[in-house]
Amino acid sequence: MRVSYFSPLPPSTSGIADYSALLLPALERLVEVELVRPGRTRPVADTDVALYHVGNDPDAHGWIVDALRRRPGVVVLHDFVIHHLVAGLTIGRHDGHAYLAAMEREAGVPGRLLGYGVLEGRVPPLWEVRPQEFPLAGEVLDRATSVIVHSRYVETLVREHGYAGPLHRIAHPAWPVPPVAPESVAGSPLVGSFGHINENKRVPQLLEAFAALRRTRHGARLLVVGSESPGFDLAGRIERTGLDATGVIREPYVEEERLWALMAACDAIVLLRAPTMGETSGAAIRALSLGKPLVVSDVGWFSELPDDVAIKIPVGGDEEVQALTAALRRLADPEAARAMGEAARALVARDHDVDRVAERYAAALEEAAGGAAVSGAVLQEVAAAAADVGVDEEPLAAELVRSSLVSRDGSVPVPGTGPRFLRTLPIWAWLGGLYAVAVAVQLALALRVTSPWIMVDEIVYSDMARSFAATGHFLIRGVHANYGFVYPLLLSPVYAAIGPMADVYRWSQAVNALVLCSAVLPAYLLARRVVRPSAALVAAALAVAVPSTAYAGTLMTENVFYPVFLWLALALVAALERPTRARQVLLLAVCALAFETRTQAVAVIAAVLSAPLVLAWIERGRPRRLAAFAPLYGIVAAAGVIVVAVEVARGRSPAAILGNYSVTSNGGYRPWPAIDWIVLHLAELDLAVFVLPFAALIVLAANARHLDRRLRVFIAASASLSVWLVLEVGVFASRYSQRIEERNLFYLMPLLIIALLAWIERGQPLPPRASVVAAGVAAALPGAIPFAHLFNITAQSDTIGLQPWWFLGNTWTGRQGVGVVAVLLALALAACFLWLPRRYAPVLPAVVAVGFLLTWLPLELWTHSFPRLASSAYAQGVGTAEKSWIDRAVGRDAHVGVIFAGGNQLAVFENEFWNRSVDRVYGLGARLPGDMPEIQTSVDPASGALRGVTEPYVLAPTTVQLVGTKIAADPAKQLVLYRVAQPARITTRVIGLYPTTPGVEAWSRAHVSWIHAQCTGGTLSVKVSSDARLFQGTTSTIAISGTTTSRTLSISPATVDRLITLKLIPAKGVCRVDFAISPTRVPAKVETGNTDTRHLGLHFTQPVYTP
Amino acid sequence: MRLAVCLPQVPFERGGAEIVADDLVAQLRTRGHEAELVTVPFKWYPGERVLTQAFLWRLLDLEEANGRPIDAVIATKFPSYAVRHPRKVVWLLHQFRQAWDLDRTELGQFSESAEDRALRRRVLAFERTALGEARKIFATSGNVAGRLRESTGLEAELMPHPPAPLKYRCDRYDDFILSVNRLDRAKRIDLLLEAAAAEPTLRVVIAGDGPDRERLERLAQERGLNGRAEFTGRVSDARLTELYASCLGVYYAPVDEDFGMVPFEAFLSEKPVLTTTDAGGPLDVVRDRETGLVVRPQASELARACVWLRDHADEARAFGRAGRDVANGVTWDACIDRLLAAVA
Repeated sequence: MRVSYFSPLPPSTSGIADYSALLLPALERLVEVELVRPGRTRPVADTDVALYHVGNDPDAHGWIVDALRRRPGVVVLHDFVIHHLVAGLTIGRHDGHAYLAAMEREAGVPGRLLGYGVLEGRVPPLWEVRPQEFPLAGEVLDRATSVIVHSRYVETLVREHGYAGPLHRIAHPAWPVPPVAPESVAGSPLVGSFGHINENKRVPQLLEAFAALRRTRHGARLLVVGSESPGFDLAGRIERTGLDATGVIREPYVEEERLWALMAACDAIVLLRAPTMGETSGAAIRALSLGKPLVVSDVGWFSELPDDVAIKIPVGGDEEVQALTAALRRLADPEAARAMGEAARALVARDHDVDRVAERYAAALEEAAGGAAVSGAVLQEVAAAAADVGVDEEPLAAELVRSSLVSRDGSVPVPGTGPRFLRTLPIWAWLGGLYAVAVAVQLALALRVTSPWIMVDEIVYSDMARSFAATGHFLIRGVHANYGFVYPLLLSPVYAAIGPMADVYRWSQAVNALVLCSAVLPAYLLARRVVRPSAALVAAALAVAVPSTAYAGTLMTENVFYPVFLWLALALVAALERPTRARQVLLLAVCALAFETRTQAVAVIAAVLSAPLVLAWIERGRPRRLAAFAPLYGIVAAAGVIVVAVEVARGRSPAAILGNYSVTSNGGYRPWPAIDWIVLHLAELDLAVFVLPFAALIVLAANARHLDRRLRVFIAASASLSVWLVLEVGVFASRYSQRIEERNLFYLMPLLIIALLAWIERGQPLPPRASVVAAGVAAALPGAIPFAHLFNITAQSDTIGLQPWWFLGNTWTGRQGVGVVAVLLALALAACFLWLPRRYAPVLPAVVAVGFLLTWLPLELWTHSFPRLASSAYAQGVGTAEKSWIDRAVGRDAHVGVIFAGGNQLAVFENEFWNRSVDRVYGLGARLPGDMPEIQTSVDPASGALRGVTEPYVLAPTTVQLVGTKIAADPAKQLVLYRVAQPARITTRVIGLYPTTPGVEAWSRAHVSWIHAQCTGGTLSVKVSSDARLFQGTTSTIAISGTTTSRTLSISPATVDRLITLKLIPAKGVCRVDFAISPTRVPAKVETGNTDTRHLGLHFTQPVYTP
Repeated sequence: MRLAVCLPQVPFERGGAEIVADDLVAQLRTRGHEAELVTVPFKWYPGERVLTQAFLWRLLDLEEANGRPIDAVIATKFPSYAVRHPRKVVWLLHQFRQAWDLDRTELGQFSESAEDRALRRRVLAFERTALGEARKIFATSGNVAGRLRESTGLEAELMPHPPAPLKYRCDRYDDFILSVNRLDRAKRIDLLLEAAAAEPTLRVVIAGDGPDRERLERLAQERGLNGRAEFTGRVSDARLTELYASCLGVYYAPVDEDFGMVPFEAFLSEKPVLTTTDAGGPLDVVRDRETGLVVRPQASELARACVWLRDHADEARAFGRAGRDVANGVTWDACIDRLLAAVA
C-alpha cells in the first residue's frame, strides 16, 4: 500500500518536521511512503491514500492544506486551533472574503463581523489575541476522510465541531535518547524550563515560585532555555522577582543535541502553558524519555499525563504560584524525583514507543485506504444472503458496525441517519406520493399538447393501436407493421373503449403520464442499490423531472421505453450482483420486452452481454465469476442462431429482425463522421444533465476498482449501457439523421444522476488524475457542439436539451455566442464538482434540478414549445374547428381513402390521425415522407378512373376533382370529401401549381398541366400574373401545347391578371393543356432575407373549364 | 450445567484443536454436565470471506436450545469466539494468525493492496470485539497469551490443556529420538532429519502423517538416512504409547507454535523434550536442562543435543521425571474447575 506523505521535513525547524523525521523510518517499515516535496500541492498518482500533517504555522503548512483541498485524505491535526494557519491562507493571500467565510462558519454572523473588524484594523488580529475562541479547523475537518489526533482533549474538540468520520487518537512518539552526556550545570536541584519565553508559557509565575523555592533551597537554580518574545524583558522580571543573577541560568535557542544535554542535566523540568492550542509538547516527550519529572499546566494534552509522571498546576490566580512552589519543593526531594522519572520512562516505553505509534498510523491509513472496499464486499455478501429471505441490508449494517466488521466511514448506509422527516412515513408512501405528483404534473403538461406533431412516428403508433383495437392485428393503413408492438398494445384499449378521437387522444396522454411516471419505482430501486433511501428518492424525483419526459404529451414509444429501460438496468445490476439463473432469465425477458418496445434496444442487449466482462475487468485479481453467466451467454447465443436460421429459412436477411430499421444494417457508415457524431452525442448528454452527473460517472468509472462492490456493479452496468447506447445512436445519426438524437439517449440520465448521488454519498472522492480528467472532459465537451448549426426544426422534437440554449441564442447572446456561454457554465459546474466543500453537497443535485427547470421553461412556454408545435402542426394540416370532420360526415366506421398529389403533407397526416374512418392513402404522382405504407395510384387517361382506389369515400385536394358527390370540405386546406361510385374517377386534375390559400393565386412551377377526362370540347380560361420584384427586367414566356392550338405568349414583369382563353379539341375523350413557363426564379436567391427556396414561374388562377 | 463447546470445523481436516474439543466435551460429560460440541464449517479465503464466515457465528443463538437454556459457551479458536452468549468463556487455542504474526510471511494471506491491508485490520478489530466480550480468556500457552496481548491488548490466564488420556509409561531409554506430529512444514520435521544427517549415529522415528510426508521421505533418502529414519505413518494409541515408552527423547520444535500436547505426552512417559529457542508455546514447559534441551534452530546444534542426551542417560531420565511432575499438574479436573468458575 502506498501513502503520499505531506509534512514539513528537516531542515525546517518546525516541531512537526522533527515529528515526521522520527516517525518516518518506523512507518516506512509498515507501508510504502511517497514523501511529497514541500510546496507541491498536486496529488501524487498511484498512491492509495494521502496523509497530511496540519499545524498552525502558515509557512510550514499552508501548502499542505492546499494539497488537501485537491485530494481529501487522512489529516493529522497537531494543533486544534489553526487560526494563524487559516489567516495565512486567506488574509496572507489577500483573500479577505475567504477569511470572513471561515469566521462566519465558525461563529456565524458575529464571527463574520469580527472578521470585518480584523480586516479593517479595528480589531487586533484574533490569531494573536484570542485564537482559542475561533479555532477555524472547520475546513480542514471537512476535507478529512479520517483524522488523527494526539490527545483526548483534541478528540473531544473535533467531535464537538461536528466531525463524524473515523477518528484515531495516537500518542506522540518518543525520540530515542541520544548518547549525549548531561551538560555540567550547577544547581541542587536544577530546574529546567524549555521553549519560547513569553506570558503564555507562564514564565512570570515560574519566576515567582522559583524565588520562593530559593528562599529555602539556596542551591537551587533555574535553567531557562529558549528564545525570548520581543518586549518580554526577562532580565527585568528576574530582577523584580528578587532573584539574584546566580539563581537563573539563561540559554537562548539551542540545537537538538545540546537541548538533550541540557535536559539531561536537570533534576526536574517545568513546561507550563495557558492557553493551549490543543498541541502536544515535543519537549515534554523528550523529558519523559529522559526520565525527568515534569511540572505542567493542567490544560489540554498535559492534563492527560498520568499523575505519577507529572505534577499538574491549575492555571490562574494565586493558587497557580502556590501550587507551582509546592511542586518545586516536592521535586527537590531526590527520591520523589527518581520515582517520577522511572514512571516517565515506563510510560514512554508503553505508550510512546515509535514502532507502536507507527503501527497505529499504519492501521489508520490502511483503514482509510481500503476500509470502504472491505465494508462494501462484506456487506454485499451478507446482504445477498439476507436478501434471499427478503431482508433489507440496513439492519445488517448496524450489526456489522457493532461487530467491527465494517466501519462507520459512511460507505455503508447506517439506519437512522436519514433525514428525520423521511422517517415519518413508510418509504412506499413517499414513493406513492412522488408518483402521484409526477403523474399530475406530467398530465397537466401533456394535456397542453393538442395534436400530434412528430411525424410520422405518432401516426404510426396511433394507426397500429387503432388497428389492433379493431382487428387484433398491428397494421398501418391495412399493411402489417414492422415496429415494436408494446406501446401500441398499451394504447389499444383506449382505442377499443373510446370512440371520438378527441377523447382517445386525451386518454392516450393520460396513459403516457401513468406509464412514464412509473419510472420512479425502478429509478428508486436502482438507486437504492448504491445510495440511502433519501438520496434514492431524490434520484427517483429527478428521473421524472428529466425534460425529455415531455414526450408524455406525444404518442411516442419513449413513454414506455423509459421505465422499461430502467427496469432493465435494475435487472442487469441484480444479475451482476448475484448471477443466479433466475435473475439472468429475468434480465433477458426484460431485454426482449425492451426490444419489442423499441428496436433501439438491440444495443442494450450488447450492453447486457458486455457488462459481466466489464465487471470482471474491474474486479480483476478477485475471484472470477464469469462462469456464472453461462446461462446468459448460452441463451443469447441460442436465440441468435434461431433468429438467423428462421430468417434465412424465410428467405430474408437476418437483419430483418430489426423490422423497419433493418436498413440500418446495410452499412455505409464512415468512421470519422461516426466518431464526430458520437462525440456530439456525448457532449449534448453532458450538457443536458448539466455536467455534474456526467463528471461523477467518469470519476466513479475510472476508480471503479476501489469502490465497494455494489457501486462496482452499478458502474459496470451503467458504463456498459452508456457506451453501447451512445455508440449506437451516434453511428446511426452519422448516416441517417444528421442530428443529435437526445430522444434516443435520455434513458441514461437517471443512471448519471444516481452516479452523482452515489459519488456524493461516498464523500465526493476526487482521485487526482481521474477527477481532473472527468471535470476537464465534462467542461470541455459542450465546446464541441455546433449550436448555431443545430438550432433547426429537428432539434424541436429530438434534442430537447438544446431548448434553453436556443432560447438564449435567439434572445440574448446571438447564436454564435451560445457556445461560449455553454462552455463557461460547464467550466463553472466542473469547478463546483472539484472544489465545492462537502457540506454543500446537497447543492449539486439541486443544481441539476434547476438546470432541468430551465430546460422545461422554453419547452413549455417558448416558440419551440411542445404545445405550440402541436397547435401549429394542426393549423397547417386542418382548417376546420372540428378535428374529426371526416368522421362526423361519414361515420367512424366508414372507409375513406386519401389522395395525396403533392403539397400539404400535414393535411394527410393530421386528417388520418383525427379521423378513424381514414384508412388508406394513395399517392398520385407524389409520395409522402416517412416510409409509411402508401398505394401509388394513377389515372386511366380514357376513363379518368383512379387505379386501385376502392373506398366509397375519397378525400382529395381541389386540384384533383372527382366524379361524385361532395359531402364535406375543408376549404382552408383546399380539401374535398367525395362519395364516389366505383371505380373512383377524376374529372379534372391540375399538376404543377404550388398549394395556396383560397382566394390567392397559386405560384406555378416550370410546368403546369390541366387534364380533363370525358371531355367533349369547350374552352379553358386562366389568368396569369408576373411579379415585378422577382422578375425585374425579365419577360417570361409561356409555351402552350396539348389538345389546343400551340402558341407562345410573352408576360412582362408588370403583367397582372392576363386572361388566356384556349379552345379545346378532345383526343380520345381527354382534353389536356400543358403550360411551359420560362424562366423560373428562386426568391431566396433574388431577394435578401427571403427564405423561400421554391422555383417559381408565374401566378395562375384556378383554370376554369366551360363545355 | 448445559454447556456448548464451540469449534470451527475445516471439513475433512482434523488436528489438535479437534482432539482438545472432543476431550473437553467428554470430560465435561463424565463430570455430569450436559455438554455438546457446536461446530460450523470455516473457510477463510478468498478476500472478505474470512469476515463473512466469521459472521456466521454471530448469527447463532446459543442462549437456549429446544426451549431449554444453555448455561454457558466455551469458545476455542477463531472465529468460534464470535458467538454471542452472556456467559461466554474462551479457551484460546488459536487466533487468526495470518492477520498478526504470520502477516507478511510465507504463511500469511493478505497482500499489500489497500483492500487487503484494511481487511487485515478488520480481522484484528473483529477479534478485539469478539474476545473482549468474553467473561474470561484462558490461553493454552504463554505464546498464545502474549500474542493476544500484543494484537488486542486483552489479557488471558495461562491454562494448558491436558494431553490425551492414554496409558503412558516409561519402559526404557533406547537410542532413537521420537517425533510425534502431523507432517507439515510448520512442524519443522526436516530439522530433525538434517540433524540425523549431520550425526551418523543418530536414529529417528517419525510418527504421524500429513501433506509434507513425501517431501520428508525424499529428504531422508537424499541425505542417506536409510534405516536411521523410520516413517511410521499414523499409529494406534497402543503403538504410540509404546514408542513414547521406549524412546530416548522426544523432538518437538514447530515454528512459534501456539501449544502442543506432545511435550506433556512425553513428560507423562518420563521422556525429555528437545526443542528450539523459537518454538513458542512449548517453551512454557520445556526448560533447558530441567525438563529437556532447548537449542537454536540449527541442525548441528540439534544433533549435538541428541548425542548429549544419548551420552547422558541419567540426565535424560532426570529431565523426563521433572517433566512428569509438570505434566501431572495439568489435569482435566483443574481445567474444568477454572472454566466453570469463570462462567459461574
